[in-house]
Amino acid sequence: MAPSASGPQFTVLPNGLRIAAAGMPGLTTLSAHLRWPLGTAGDPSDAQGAAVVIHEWLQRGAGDRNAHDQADAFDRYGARRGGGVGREYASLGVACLARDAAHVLPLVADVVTAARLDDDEFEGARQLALQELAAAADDPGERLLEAAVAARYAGRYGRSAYGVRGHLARLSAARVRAIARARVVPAGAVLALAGGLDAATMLALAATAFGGWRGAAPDRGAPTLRPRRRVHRSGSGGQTQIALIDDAVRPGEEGWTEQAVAMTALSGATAARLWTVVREARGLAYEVGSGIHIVAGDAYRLTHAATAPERASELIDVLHGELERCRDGLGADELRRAQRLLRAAVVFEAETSGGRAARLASDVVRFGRPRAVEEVEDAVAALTLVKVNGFLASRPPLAATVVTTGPRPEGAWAA
Amino acid sequence: MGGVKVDGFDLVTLPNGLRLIGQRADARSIAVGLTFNVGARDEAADEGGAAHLLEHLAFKGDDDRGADDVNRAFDELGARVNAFTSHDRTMYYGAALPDECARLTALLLSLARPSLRPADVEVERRVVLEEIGMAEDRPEGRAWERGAQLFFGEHPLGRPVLGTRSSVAALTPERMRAFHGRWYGSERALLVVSGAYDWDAFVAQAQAATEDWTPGGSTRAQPVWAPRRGSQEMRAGGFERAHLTWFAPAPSSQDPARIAAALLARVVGDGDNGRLFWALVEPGLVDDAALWFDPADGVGSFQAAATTDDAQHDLVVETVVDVLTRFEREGPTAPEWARAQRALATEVTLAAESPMGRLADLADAWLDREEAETAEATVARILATPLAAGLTLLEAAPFSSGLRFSLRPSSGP
Repeated sequence: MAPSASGPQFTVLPNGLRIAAAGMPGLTTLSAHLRWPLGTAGDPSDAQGAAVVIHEWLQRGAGDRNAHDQADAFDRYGARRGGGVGREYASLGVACLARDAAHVLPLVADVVTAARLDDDEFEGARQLALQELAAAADDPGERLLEAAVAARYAGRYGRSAYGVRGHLARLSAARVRAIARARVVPAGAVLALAGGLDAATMLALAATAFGGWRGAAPDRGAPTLRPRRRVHRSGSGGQTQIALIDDAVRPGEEGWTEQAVAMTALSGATAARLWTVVREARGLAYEVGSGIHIVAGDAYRLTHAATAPERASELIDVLHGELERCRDGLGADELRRAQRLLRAAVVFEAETSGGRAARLASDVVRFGRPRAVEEVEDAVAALTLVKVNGFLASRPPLAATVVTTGPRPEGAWAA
Repeated sequence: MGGVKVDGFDLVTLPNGLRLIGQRADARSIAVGLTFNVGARDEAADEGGAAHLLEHLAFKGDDDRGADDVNRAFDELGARVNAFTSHDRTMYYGAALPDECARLTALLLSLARPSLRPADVEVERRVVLEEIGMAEDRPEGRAWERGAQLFFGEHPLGRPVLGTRSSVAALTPERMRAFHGRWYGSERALLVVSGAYDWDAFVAQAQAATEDWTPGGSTRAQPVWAPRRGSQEMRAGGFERAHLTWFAPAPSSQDPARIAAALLARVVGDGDNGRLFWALVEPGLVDDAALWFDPADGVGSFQAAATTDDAQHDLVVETVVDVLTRFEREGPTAPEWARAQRALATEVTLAAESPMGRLADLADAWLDREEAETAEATVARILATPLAAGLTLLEAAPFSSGLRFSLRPSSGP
């Protein structure tokens, strides 16, 4: 059936899998995004990194297809694959021509329902996880993120998204297979589809492909927050990497849309405050940005930049000042620009099947249901200066954890 | 001025030489790009980094407005705006809702005539030096840059796009003005639009806004060049892993064999099912391995990169040499070729989903080849490219004529 332009459709299969679908008239392509609660936060405490190995191992053969046959099966339809694994979720993405969806979706389903997990594919998957861990250690941005997350959370949510070298080295195929059987399950999972088919048709195809997936997810509980603190992790490199982390409003809480607009004014555009003050006026950094991160229901704001160590203390002070100034509210012009930018961003994202599918999946994870593009546009348009500034004034005084990595800052923030 | 219509495209050249091209699409957004056919390869010996610094300075405003005004004006449109500089091109582009097409176009055109105020040059120089600092902290980028320098030798494609700390420090406002005068002439510019536009209004606006633009008269040098061969290594501090790069000669952007070259690269370098994936990634020898085709103006190259534990460096080198030698000797199998065709066709179709996705290819195809082709036509061309075209390219043994460069940690074995 040809797609219609009506809003997204949503269903929950008896096995617990939540499926959202949006038809996109005019597209001949289709993207699918599967996200399920497999991440290093859920790994046994002595097997950190098992999730990374599992994610790789899953893709090395399913049913009667070995790893090569599996790759060939996707390629027969020119299907492009992606995906990854983090602390909380693993994901698989696929993009193909809409007319091939009935052939490609079962291949994706096979990855999570019929993976072979052959012994002779285990070592390669484990070695790859070790390689990725080592590669992250050579990436300054990744080192900063790992340190920032560890500074925000105690316990499992503060772990590395890549695992622990010693744990990875000791994992056996039998142990990881047992973990995989318990953790590659539809409970808590989301499948989102967007593209050139009718939404009802996509839901039906997905229900057929994924209906046989079985298993319940263990509850991992809420993350444990650490108190505010100052952390420096020394490392090589010419630039000091800087992160400021503070509390943010959670999805579904009052102020969520106000926060989104305020973040756009802070960091989401060319005239945004951080860009203007840090880069345009002072030339302190090449990159500076701030975003909201959601982890197991917790929300935090992460503001980051990098600069030479002799200017790092000045930059940290400037970032502090700008975050603190948010509570004073936006000007009318700023609000109008931020609203236009957010509205346009929603439209841009909804023009590509991959962007639309990823947004549907994150909506289901965050709000429990997919949102229509128009719903988001309307929520943004309905904001007034009184509402936004009332929200900003109600925020607590800035209490940010400051994390630096690389060379130690010179000056006031050296300690 | 109505211009010419070619298979779904609108085309016109204004009297001052500025070219305009439009591709109509039924979309909720509109994308506009202003491309100058100038990049790092066009810099003189004492201008390293000028093309890129000029891209930064364009956003600092013209005689009518400052940087803050420019940034605010883009945000007023709700526009997503950015720019990039490569060896071949400098492109300013943005997407907005269709009713803002005229204002977006006006702003992008205004970027091309920046004031180049000394204070702006100083601030932006500091930003670029931080950008260079960031690049220096990323060993894979350092390895690639050095590899390109060795492979291209005296050819300007071997220069770093950002320039060096000393070359950027030497870029005075006067030098920037001279560079701008030579290379930002109307005849080197292309204004591209994709989405639901009003062509006559677009052309009339561009003509009025660029009335005082004049040709700059510079032409790009295409020096005679032979690829450098061999292998080199360097050890340095500040990182833990070995970063390997390979370069080999390939067809240019103008060469009809470019599609066959893209398919060959896909057979070897596809991230999910290419020969390097099975030889290196699947056994966990490297965390990632890629081989791709880079069709520059007049000179193309195959490029590859992989990262590994330093202790496995030699094994990775041997494996890659083995894969490439065998590939050159035997060529792709028919199923490999067909898979590569379908994969590339899907990617072209996906990229064409949004007006923004179409913009850069539209500009490259017109500037390099005066070719305007829909995604459907490109897909048909990909699917019609025979395996024999790939085998013909391999007869020249491109991979045996290449260069390897490894950046290895000084703390290694």
